[in-house]
Amino acid sequence: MNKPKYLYIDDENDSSITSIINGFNDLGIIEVEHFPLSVFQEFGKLKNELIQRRKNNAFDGLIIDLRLDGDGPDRVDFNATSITQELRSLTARGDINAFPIILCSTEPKIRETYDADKSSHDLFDYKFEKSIEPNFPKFSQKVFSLANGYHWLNSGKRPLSEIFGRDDLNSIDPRILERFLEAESKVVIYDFAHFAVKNLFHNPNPLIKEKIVAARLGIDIEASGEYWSTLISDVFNSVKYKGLFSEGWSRWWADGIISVFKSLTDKKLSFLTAEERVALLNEKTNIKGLVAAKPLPLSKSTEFWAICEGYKKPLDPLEGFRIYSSYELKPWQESKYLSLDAVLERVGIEKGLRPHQSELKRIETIKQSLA
Amino acid sequence: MAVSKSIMHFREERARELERMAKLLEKIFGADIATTPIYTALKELKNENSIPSLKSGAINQNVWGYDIEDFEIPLDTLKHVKPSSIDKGKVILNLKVRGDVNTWGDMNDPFLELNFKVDIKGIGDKVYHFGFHIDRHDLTLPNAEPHPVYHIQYNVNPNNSKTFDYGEIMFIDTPRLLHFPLDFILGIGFLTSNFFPAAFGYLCDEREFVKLNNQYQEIIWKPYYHTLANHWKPFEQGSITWKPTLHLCPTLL
Repeated sequence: MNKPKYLYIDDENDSSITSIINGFNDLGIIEVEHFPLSVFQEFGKLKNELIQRRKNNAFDGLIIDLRLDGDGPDRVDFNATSITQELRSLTARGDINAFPIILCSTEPKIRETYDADKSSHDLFDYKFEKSIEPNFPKFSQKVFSLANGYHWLNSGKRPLSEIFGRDDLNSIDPRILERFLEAESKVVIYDFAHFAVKNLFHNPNPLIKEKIVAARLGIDIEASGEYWSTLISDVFNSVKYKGLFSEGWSRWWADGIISVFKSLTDKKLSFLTAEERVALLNEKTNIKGLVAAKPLPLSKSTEFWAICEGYKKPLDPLEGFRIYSSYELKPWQESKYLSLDAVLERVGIEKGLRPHQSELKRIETIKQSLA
Repeated sequence: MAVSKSIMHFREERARELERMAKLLEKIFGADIATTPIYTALKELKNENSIPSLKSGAINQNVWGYDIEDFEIPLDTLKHVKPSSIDKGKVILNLKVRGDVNTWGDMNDPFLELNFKVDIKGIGDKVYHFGFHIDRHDLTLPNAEPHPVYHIQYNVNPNNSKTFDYGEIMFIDTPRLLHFPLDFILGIGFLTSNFFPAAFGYLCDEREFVKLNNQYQEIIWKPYYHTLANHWKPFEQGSITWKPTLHLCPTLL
């Protein structure tokens, strides 16, 4: 797919909208066109127009403002959730080809409406906040990847090994993909897309992101510089996730990282300190410039396995505090953590990062011991 | 080489029992544990194209077994831990089980190989480790000391760290203490009763847990203890007054 085209639907119609559209279009990764909501004020009219345009392949995805019923001049009487629900039903029935739907809104509106309505979370493929300086390169890459992935899924039925880019799916926890193996369950394209983004990419296991890979290998990414880039791209490329949406989300198979390390060093990764892991990697790969990560000031362990989501630095989960999550984790997913430093300094609180309820007593005890 | 249907039936039964235990653990521990190592093991058990290898490298379709890698439970008996600065810990199990399907349920040794390796990690003013393993000794190997076939040994430096600080502890190989064999099902009772007694109490309230333990104790412990008791013939079952057996072994459910 060359340059996917997204329609942008918003009740606002001012320079802020032009600025978002230009922000995407200037990068040239995706093309964004402003959809004239003022012409399609009724729910049915809007729906029919979108169906018709989709049938004519006039767009590859939607970027939609959460509060279409907001204060903008093009406001309608329904919000993004209602129209998205309808479009998802139509694609599930096969009336039109499935396509990505991206939610955008200001941070307060997302908190007020989206976060409060958990039932709407499954509808959207991705959400980005309208802020003063949106991260257009990051958003463009993700929405490009989503359009590309949907297009690929629409083009024909594929085996799970191809969708998730791994031949030996047998060796991962069988619960992860079991819903796709049930003969009776009807799986639609959106299920794969939703599963990949919401389940595979959002929480560790079976895939992990770059910072967690570095933490598990005991490496300080910044201090290791180009040596880290060489290690991750040369030595661990075989266990990089290459399945659906992999252009938008860089992830590695967690079990693969352990296996590669074991085959290189004949040692069990999790039982080593960062210094030991890095010494072995420097020795066995001949990449001599890898630097071991140090613990955060109030942490002692360098047997890192996670990151502190506040500081984005390596953390031994045994010293961490499980993070509150607005959704229930699957039994095969791992928690995210905050370090004691982040908890005490309230780092990330503005992004909603806070310890899980079950950790509060322990935090209180630690606070008292530090006082 | 695909495994025969009757052996696959046997393996699927064992996999189902592991899954039942996994679900019990999820119910009792919730998000405090990850059961992925159990599901990965049981999937391998159900894979008809996979025959677990023996240490010797021998492949025999009558051999069944599984490997559990890095299954963790929280360490809850922190009051008894030294150094006293340790305020958080975990117990990590690595387990390798190999048996012959033909000896399962007979009054015979149910295993060909067994390695029940436990590492305990605590964090206080620094990171501390401790470990022990319950092994099935390979009787074909020459050895200087008499080995009980199933024995427990401790290791204060389980990671074999070259820079390990032995402090004021003198450490030599602990005696190979006689210990009954532990697979994953029986191992959960052993680990929770020792390191998370409250969870063991909750598990014992679960009918499913007791049933699984009864079944596995019958198959794994009964031949072991009857074989020991058989040393003194005749076995004086009628004259035993030392009761209850729970005092001898609290996990004997």
